[in-house]
Amino acid sequence: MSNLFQTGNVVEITDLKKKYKGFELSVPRLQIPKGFATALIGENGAGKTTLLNILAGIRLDYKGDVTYFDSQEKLCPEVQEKMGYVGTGSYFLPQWTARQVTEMSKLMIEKFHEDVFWKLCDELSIPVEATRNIRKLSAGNCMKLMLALVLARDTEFLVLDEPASPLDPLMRDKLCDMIRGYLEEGDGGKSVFFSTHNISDMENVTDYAIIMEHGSVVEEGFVEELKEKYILVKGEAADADAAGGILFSITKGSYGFEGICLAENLDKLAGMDISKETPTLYQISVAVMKANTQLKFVH
Amino acid sequence: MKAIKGYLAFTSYIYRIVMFGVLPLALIALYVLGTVVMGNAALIMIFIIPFVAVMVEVAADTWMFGGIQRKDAAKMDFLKTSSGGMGLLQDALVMDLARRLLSLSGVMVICLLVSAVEGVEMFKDTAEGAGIIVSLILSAYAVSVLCTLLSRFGAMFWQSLMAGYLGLFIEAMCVWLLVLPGHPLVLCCIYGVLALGVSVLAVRFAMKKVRGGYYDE
Repeated sequence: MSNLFQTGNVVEITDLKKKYKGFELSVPRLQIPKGFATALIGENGAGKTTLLNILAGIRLDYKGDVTYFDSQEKLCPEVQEKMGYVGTGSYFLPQWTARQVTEMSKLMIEKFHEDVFWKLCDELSIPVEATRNIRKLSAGNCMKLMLALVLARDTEFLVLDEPASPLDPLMRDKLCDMIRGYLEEGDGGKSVFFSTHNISDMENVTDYAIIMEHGSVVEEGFVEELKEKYILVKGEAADADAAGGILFSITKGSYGFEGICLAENLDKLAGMDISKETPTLYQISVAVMKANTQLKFVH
Repeated sequence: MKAIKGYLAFTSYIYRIVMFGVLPLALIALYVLGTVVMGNAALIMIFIIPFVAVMVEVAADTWMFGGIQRKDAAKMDFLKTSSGGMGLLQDALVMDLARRLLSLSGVMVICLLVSAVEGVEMFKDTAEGAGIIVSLILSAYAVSVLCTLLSRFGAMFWQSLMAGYLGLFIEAMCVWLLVLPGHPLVLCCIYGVLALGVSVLAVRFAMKKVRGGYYDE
């Protein structure tokens, strides 16, 4: 990891191992940079939620070392106070109401700002009538409620598990604004770590990306660095087979081929009629996932 | 004070109306109906109150902590990821038990006061009568806590009702022991120990199950 602007790590993981029913999460070393939005990308079952749950302190049965805030602290009440978590699973008891979770937040969390919470509820149009059970909220509104709760706290680190998935496109855009605003407010001191399948929607807010497959990190880096490391190549159909052995991933069609090439391998395509473009994070992620997946693709 | 606030945070408006208002008032009204309006049925009514309390307490718990001991229970990540979340839950569980005991004791005391005002003499021996009343309170409390512990393995209302019916049966056994010739004070002590034991068990077991969510097994 190298970046001129980087000032430390919000999380450092060493020799993390977690086994569960035939699945193994194995992360020898991982650092999440402080002051940035880091996206955790990977196919279903790659281990994203398990990793996020370990970081959030929901899973405690793992081996290895996880430290927070420049390796200063392990998971403890002080760390939990500075960390906000939003998850996809059973976050609330279904019979709870928004009033109840607000009351609980006021009691559990030292720096919870109720006025900010209600303002966010209003801003995000969350239907939070006093007697409405959370089970009656749609998945999108439930996610908005969780986001309002964590954003109404004074935190330094947000861990968000699939925050964009249940949201509509407009709200996803708003989510990006909120994440960006949170980071700017922290002036380098606040960080966000989120998992996502909606890479395109979240790209404009992603500074650093971590790609996971089968419980392991297969690629990571600042997005700008990844866009220098990988090149999007388009070429004629006649060159497709020759290029296939060089490209990191390739999609062939009657019109030609398109694929992601490691910048260091670009010389090997010399002589072919190709055009080069900067890939999007989505294209890089799909290429990396395709190269590592156990799914069978028919070309 | 924080524990009380925490407990109240776990209660919905409907739960508060039913358990803090409707249930105690209904039990007192039932007693007054039997004692004043229908004639001298005070002794029967004072024995009926614990049965109603057991049934309602067990059934209503489904709105508070229903299903928290299930294997696939809602994991309450909201509480687990907050530094004070587990403490808040434990306080709420303890305060719920305290509320039950206070509520039932309060109802019984008011009923006895109504009897005193009406000049109804239920027991010839005051000490024996006190022993029976305290035993009724402690047995009903212990049975309601025990059956609540069982009902929390299910999240459905009918499962709580079934646990409530079981509670009625156990309470009937307790009352039967109480009306047998013997020493109500001894029973009073036994029910007291049982009440304390099931209270500790109920809180510890619920917390153990919830904390178990941090681990796969």
